[in-house]
Amino acid sequence: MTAVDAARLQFALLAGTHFLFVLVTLGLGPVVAILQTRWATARDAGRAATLETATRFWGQLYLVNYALGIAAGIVMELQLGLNFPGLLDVAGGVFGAPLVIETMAAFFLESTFLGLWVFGWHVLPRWAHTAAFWAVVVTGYLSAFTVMVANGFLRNPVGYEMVDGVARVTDAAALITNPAALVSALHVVGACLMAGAFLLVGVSAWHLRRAPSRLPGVVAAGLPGAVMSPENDVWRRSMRIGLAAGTVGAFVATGAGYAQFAYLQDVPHGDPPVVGIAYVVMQGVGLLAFVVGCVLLLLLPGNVLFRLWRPLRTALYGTLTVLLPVPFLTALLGWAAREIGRQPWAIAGVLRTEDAVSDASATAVITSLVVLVGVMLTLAVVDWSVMARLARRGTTRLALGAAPAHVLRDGDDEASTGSTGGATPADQDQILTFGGTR
Amino acid sequence: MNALGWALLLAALLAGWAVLDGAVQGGVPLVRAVGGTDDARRRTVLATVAPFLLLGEVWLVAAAGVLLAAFGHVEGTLWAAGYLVVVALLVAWVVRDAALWLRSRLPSPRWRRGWDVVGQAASLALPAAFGALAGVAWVRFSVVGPQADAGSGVAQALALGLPVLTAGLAVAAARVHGGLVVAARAPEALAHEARRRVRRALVPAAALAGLAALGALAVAALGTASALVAAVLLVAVAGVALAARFDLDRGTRRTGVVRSSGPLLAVAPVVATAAVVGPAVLALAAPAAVLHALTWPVLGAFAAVLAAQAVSWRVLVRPLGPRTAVFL
Repeated sequence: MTAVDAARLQFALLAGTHFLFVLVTLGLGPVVAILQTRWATARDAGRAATLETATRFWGQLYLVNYALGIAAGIVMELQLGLNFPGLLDVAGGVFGAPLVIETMAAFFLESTFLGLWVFGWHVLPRWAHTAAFWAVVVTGYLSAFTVMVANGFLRNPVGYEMVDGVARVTDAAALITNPAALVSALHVVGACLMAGAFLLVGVSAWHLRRAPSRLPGVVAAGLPGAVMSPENDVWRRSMRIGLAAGTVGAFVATGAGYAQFAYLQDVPHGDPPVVGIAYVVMQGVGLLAFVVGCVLLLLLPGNVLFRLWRPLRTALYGTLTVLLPVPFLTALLGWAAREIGRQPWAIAGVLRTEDAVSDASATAVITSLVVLVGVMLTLAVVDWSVMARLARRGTTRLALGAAPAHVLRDGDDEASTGSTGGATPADQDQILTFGGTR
Repeated sequence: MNALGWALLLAALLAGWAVLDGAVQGGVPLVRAVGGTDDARRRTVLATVAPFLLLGEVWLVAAAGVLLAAFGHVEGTLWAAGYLVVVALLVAWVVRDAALWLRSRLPSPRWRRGWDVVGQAASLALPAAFGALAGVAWVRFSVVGPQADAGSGVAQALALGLPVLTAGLAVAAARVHGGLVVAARAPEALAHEARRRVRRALVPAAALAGLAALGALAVAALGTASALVAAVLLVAVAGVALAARFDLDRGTRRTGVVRSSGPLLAVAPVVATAAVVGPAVLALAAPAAVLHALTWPVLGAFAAVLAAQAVSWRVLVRPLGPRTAVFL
């Protein structure tokens, strides 16, 4: 394996991993924000409690996903300088601009507001706490857009001039309104909404398939079936939001996807077969998701969807759960098509990939390939298995937004914490409640 | 903004990272030592540094963005010289984050204890890798690198020794700083133990700062005059560390010297590096047109970030209480 191959493979695997986390961050973010807004504005106490639980459940999954997303993003940021310094030498003046805006403006604020949201849960007034999460969502989308401006420049370089072999920005507006940035960003947003929606729908369907639709006590008493368990209410609401978001996402992703052909046609060389296959798969998944989404949305009024003939309903729920990975795999395919479609260029028509890689030895690049990709993929798999466990556990024992004493005792019921470190019970209580109760 | 302005911004971002993330780097290795075997106590120690995690690590991400946009050639040279150190930094960072976010998600005691060990190791490796990278910068952006390449024995010894010294200094500094943060925010039963660890770490930290000052003197003697500034700074920080130890030994722990010793030690590697490499880095800045075009967007963003972070610190950084959110 040459250093060029190793550098490309490393970038592809790390970016692919990062992209899977980004899909959930951007797809689930607006949903959590909407749930929290409805919780903050709910007048009815029961409804507020349901929405609070939903916010905390999906917010916790969002965080566990975000944790590895941020880590994978950090690795990505340094990849360019590490393995493709030629890209920065030639186009650093153009390509670096959106990336410094991404880190300084978008990501910096995103992480700050997320910290405020998680750790200021009991301190901030409810409206400020809700606004903090909306700020996370907005800056997250800004971050994605700036990355697409950088990526769009690679695919369709505009708004620059070459002076002594170095690219310089001549028209910042052209760089930003580049269709390879604007239209493609919209396409990615659609894909993210779909991915978040499949997660919402898949997990909710899994719980709805298992949960009795009515409280066992109500059934035993022979009462009519209007009363639903509060947890069931969470899953039904999540399912509704997921179906709406997924249908909108499929529409946006498909529409913006077709709009991209306007500039993709300009690429002179023939595309490798994987690109054609990816286009077909993406069109199929997008259209099918849109049509099925519309049908399921039509079944929502009057809760028809949740009252279907039981075997049909169980089969539907099972299918929706099994389909959860589909948008993620499709998005990976789409991303691969975009990057492979640009080869052999790093910047279309300006800089070849083989001229952009570092002159580090093949051994060094392969070492970092094995180490970084090995660590990243291992952590990603662990993270996804934790997310699966949390998703299955449902709304019991949520750590996010719980009182400290409650969280610190969370291990007690399932696993004995063993000795208390020699502390007296009073001392222990003082530590658990931090010297007070809420 | 000219190259000097961008260099100062870069130094400020790195210093911010060293102080905020340094609290996490130094606090997490105390989880097992101070928390003991009890999970609730361990999580209490984690809770003292938890708010610094999301607010802190972005400073290094932002610094990398500035490095990429305004000092692309510096990044290229540094990454080429310290390729595997950068990889180690990334691995330590990613593993540390995963350990912190994942350890409390499942109730199994084995899962949690395992991640505590992993988190401790990664939290030591992270400042070590950053410090080593700073040492590589000392070598590459001073006269030491070229002289070592030319075969000078003294320069070659420095090229090997400086990264080790700065790595050790960064680890010791984080230990003091993180320990003081834990001591300031934790309930007294835990704070007492954290202070004991800080007291023990202060003399090694002072010694490493002194040795790094000698290294800086050697760099200055070989011909990079700006390293003299680094030497003076490092000696001053070593003095503060010793004074803090003296105060702690007397039992007076609320003095300004004790409080400032943590942040001062944490920023010492960054400020010293800025002094040593400053002139060479300025000469490698991006063209003036690039720097000029990016000035207002970046400064505006930085102002917004500072405002958001200032509000967050006010809200989040207070002694643990019943309204503290525990998540890690």
